[in-house]
Order: sequence, then C-alpha cells, then structure tokens
Amino acid sequence: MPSVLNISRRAFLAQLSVFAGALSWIPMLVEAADRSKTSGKVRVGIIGVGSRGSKLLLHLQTIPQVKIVAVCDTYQPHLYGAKKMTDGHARTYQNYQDLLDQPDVDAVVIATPPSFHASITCDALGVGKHVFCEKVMALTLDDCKKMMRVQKETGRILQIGFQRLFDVRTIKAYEAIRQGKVGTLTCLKTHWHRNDSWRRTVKDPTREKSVNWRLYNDASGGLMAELASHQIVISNWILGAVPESVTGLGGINYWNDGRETHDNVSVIFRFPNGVLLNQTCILSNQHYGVVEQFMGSKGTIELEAGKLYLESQEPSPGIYQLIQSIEEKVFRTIPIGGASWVLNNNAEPKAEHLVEGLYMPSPTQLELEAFVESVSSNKLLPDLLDQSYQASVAVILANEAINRGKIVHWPQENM
Amino acid sequence: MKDIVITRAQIRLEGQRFGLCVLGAFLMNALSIIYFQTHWVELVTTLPITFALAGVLYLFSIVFRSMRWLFYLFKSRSG
Repeated sequence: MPSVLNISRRAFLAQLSVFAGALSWIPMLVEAADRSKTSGKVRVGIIGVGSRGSKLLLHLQTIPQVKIVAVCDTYQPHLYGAKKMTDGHARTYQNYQDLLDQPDVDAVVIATPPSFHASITCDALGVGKHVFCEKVMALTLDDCKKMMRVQKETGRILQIGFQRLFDVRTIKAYEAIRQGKVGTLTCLKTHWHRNDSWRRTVKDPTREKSVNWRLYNDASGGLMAELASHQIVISNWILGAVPESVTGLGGINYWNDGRETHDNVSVIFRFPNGVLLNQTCILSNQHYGVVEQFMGSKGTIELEAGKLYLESQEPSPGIYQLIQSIEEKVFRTIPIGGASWVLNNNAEPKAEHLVEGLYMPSPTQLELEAFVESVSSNKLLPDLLDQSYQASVAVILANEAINRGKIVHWPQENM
Repeated sequence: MKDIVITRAQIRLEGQRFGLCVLGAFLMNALSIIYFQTHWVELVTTLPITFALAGVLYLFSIVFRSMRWLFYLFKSRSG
C-alpha cells in the first residue's frame, strides 16, 4: 500500500480549508512528503504486537521513511507473526527493556494494555527514544502527569494515538462549527454501542488476564478508556475547553462472565457555559452504533455520518404543499387506513454533507505519518499532546465518578 | 367491424382541453406560491410536477365526460 502522504497529502490538505492555527498539527503534514525523499530512515521498534500493534506495524510499513527494526511482545506467537510481517527483518524481544537498549532504535510504538503505558513510555523517553503510545495515556492522574513531565524534561517526541483528531469528518465539523454554521454549541451527545462481549477465547488459562485485559480494572479503563475516550478528545477539541465536572453510572447488566469492567456506562460531562456532553457506551446492543451529535442554536452536526442539519429548513415548493394539504384533507375523510404514500414535505430534514466527495485517508495512517514527520523534524506536533492528556484525564475522572457515584471536578493543575 | 374514425377536429379539441389542463395546473402552482409564500422560481423548477398535475386534471376531465356521456345515453334510451 503506498503512503497516503506521498499519494495525496496535498489533495487531502487542499480539501481542508481550515483556519490558520486552528489545526496546528495538520500543516506539519505538508512538509513530510518532500522530507520523505531526502531524509534518512526513522528506525522504529514496536512494543506490543497483538491485534492493535500488528495493525500499526502494517500502517508503518507503508511509510517510506520508516524501517521496523525490532518488535517486542511477551507472547511468542505474536512475536513470530510480527517478525513474519517484516519479512524476518525485525529483531524480536520479550522484554521491552532489551528493545530500549538497542542504539539503532530511534522511536518506539507502544501498543500494550494501558496499565503499562506510563512505565514503558517514561523508560523509553528516558533513554532518548521518541514515543508513539496508543490511547489512553494511562489509568491514573499521577501516571499521566509523569508522562507529561518526562516528555518535557527529555524533549523527546511523545504522541498519543487519538486518531480521530486526524479524521476528515472531525476536521470539517470543527471548521463548520468555527464558521458559526451550528450557532452556539449547547449540547453534545455521543454513544458507542456494540453487541459483543469483548472476550477472546483463551486456550491457556494462565493467559486470561493478558489476553482479556480489557475486562480487568487493573489493566484497562473499561468502556470509558477504550471507546468513549475517542469521543471525549473530539468534544474537548471542538469546544476548545476541558470539562469542569463529570458524573455517571455504570454496571454489568448483560455480560455476567466474571469480568470487572462495566458492560454499560452513561456519563455526563459539564463544560464551561453549562454545555453538557452526554455519553453512553454499551456492549449488548449495536442498533445505534457510533454517533456523535453536536447540537447548536442553528444546527446539528452528526459526525459519523458527516452531516450538518440546519434548524430552519427551506420550505418545500408551494405546489408540493398544496398537493400535501389536498391529500391530507382527502384521507382525513376516509375512516380506514392512512396517507402513508404522501409526498415528502418540509418535515423531512435536509442535510448538508460535510465530507461528500472528499478524499478520506485512514486517520490511523495519518497520525502515524504525522508522528514520523514529528520525529524527523524533531518538532512536537503543537497542541496534540495537550489534547491527548486532557482526554485521558477526563476518562480517569469519569471512571472515578462512576465508581464513587459522585460528581468529580477537574483537578487543579500542578504538573 | 366498424372503424373508429378520429377526426382532425377531435384531436385539436382534445389538444385544447389538455392545454387548458396545463394552464390550470400552472395557475394552481402560481396560486400555491402566493398562498404558501414560496419562491416564483418554482414556476420553472417544478414544471415536471405541473405537467403531472395537468395529466391528472385531464384524466379527471375524461372521467367527468364519460359519466356525462353515459348519463345522456341512459336518458335518451329510457326517454
């Protein structure tokens, strides 16, 4: 697969008629294509090559500047699979410290369960490696702060894998909101509904926790970290703020299989000016799937669908309205049945497509290319790490609110 | 079997009747634009609907004329 940056970066960026400075990490992508022809390779090691890690490996292999030199995992079959994906070129390690000791590794990609993110990230930054770490940053506030502090002290690149910030739909929604198309944002509503247990089959019972880590509180932040965090980071960014407080509930009402993390959560974040973000995540019904609704005084954006609905709709043509009113009068006089075939009228909301006809590169591909560019130029992508930190903290606070059954307030910052 | 002969005058008359239906539909469109306070450009943009409405009016006129013909036929035979 050819690199997105080489094929269509310019086309991709041209379609994003964003305000200068608003998307501060996007313009850096512009420089990357030219650099890819001239600069040396970025030598990457991947720590954790399970399902997500091996997917990242495949994406990285399409970037011309990247050379995968090492992979690490505690599970031998994963290591074997990852080495095979690199045609046997990558060296394999079972201990991440051994990989970090390798002088020919410039950057590491961390795709382990979140409970390991902080320690591996800090160790990697400490020995001078650049780090791309999957979301969320960590499971405790202290760990998140520590990661930020170590990044500042070492000056190395740290990027967190919130790929939705590189999604064309998100960027176009941001643009539409900043242009005032939805008026004053007053309410955000998101949900992420699935119908699967999250449980994977484990042949060796001793590996239960390492395979099904999402189901255990000491390794995972549950639904808030795995699903809702993607929507929190977008909400923070679009509102240009962090939540003041959060409250919520959660529990296990369907998958009673010995898991610890909840299979349903519902939380409400309160932002400045009283803007509410209402989120639900469930694992027992997928009918409504993934939805992000940004509601303002003039319109609503449905992000997943890439649509903008305006509050004041243009009325239907007069002749339609005339026919409609005649039909209604005729059918009202008939005692049975109803006018189910009546023409659509102005009650049908019309949508403006935010991304119709636009090229939509994979957000994961773009975020990795942005990381590589960041490493090549040794420049941290502006604002991106702060957004990732704030979203990770919001997840931690939401889980605290759910577990304590209280309203939890945004902490005083003292990193 | 006797041939049915449609004269040129009959064709012209039917054409005139259809033209009247088109005019009627067009007037209905104009009146609905005034009544519902929409845009005059709809006189052009909704032309397909106007012609479809004219077809419906013409069909109604055929039904009405058939009923009138049957009424006079019944009346002449019974009288």
